[in-house]
Amino acid sequence: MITTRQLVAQARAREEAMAHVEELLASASGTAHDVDGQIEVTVDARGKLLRLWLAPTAVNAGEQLGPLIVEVAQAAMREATQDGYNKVALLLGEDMTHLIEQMTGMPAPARAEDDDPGMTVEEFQRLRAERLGSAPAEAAAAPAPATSVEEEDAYWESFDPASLRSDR
Amino acid sequence: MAEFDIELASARIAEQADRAGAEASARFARSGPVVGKAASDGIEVQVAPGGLLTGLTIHRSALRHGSAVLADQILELAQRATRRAGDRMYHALAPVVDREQLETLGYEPIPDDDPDADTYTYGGGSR
Repeated sequence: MITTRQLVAQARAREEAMAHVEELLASASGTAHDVDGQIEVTVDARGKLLRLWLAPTAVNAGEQLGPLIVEVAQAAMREATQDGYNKVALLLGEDMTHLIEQMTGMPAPARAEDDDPGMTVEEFQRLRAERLGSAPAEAAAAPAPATSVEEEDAYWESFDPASLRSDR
Repeated sequence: MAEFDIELASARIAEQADRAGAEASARFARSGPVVGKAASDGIEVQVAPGGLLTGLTIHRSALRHGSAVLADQILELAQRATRRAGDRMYHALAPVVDREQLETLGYEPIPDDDPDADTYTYGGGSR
């Protein structure tokens, strides 16, 4: 049972957290570069250009350079948006952040259908095994000390990889 | 209980936003989308409110000073264009949104005597 005092404390904490959102978003930024590494752009969460770096050979692109920079800036903006949401989510939690995404009509880029889903569990385990292949003794010692093998097996059998957050 | 509060608050904000949005979109329908522009030495920059680059034209003549000079020039023009877009947004939204909220969004008026002030007129002028 939650007491009134706890409710008041919760409300205050939430109010305080909301006050920090603006500050957090102001500090968010994103950087992107083109495929050839000739252009690097950093923007803030509103898209404002903070830094632009061009490789000496970038001028060879001629009049194509302008549109390329615009494209890289837009990719950087998606990074900045994600960075902003990541920061807000740490402070306010997933539910509140999702609500903000809905209110702004600007879903976190990591939710996009075509976003890179990252590595699968199997892939990770395979790569890990490869990495540790040269030191099998260490690999055997690495898992957290379980009370029994059966207990550990039971844990991993019921473990659902989908419960891992991929976007934050 | 706590969830109820959040829903109520978000509904209220959404309603306010809808109202301000309807008035603002009526204004933007008259004036066209708000952009900020700046140009010099064969470089033309266009940004959306907030500063995101939406257009960049670099003429061949601007390429000969090298990439470092070019990058600096683009950055400077983008900053000027961003201020101009903010100034436009400020004037477009000031009648329907609090001044303080506009400044939080980064939309601030540019004083007339500021070198970044642009000579366009608002509402129906050439853009």
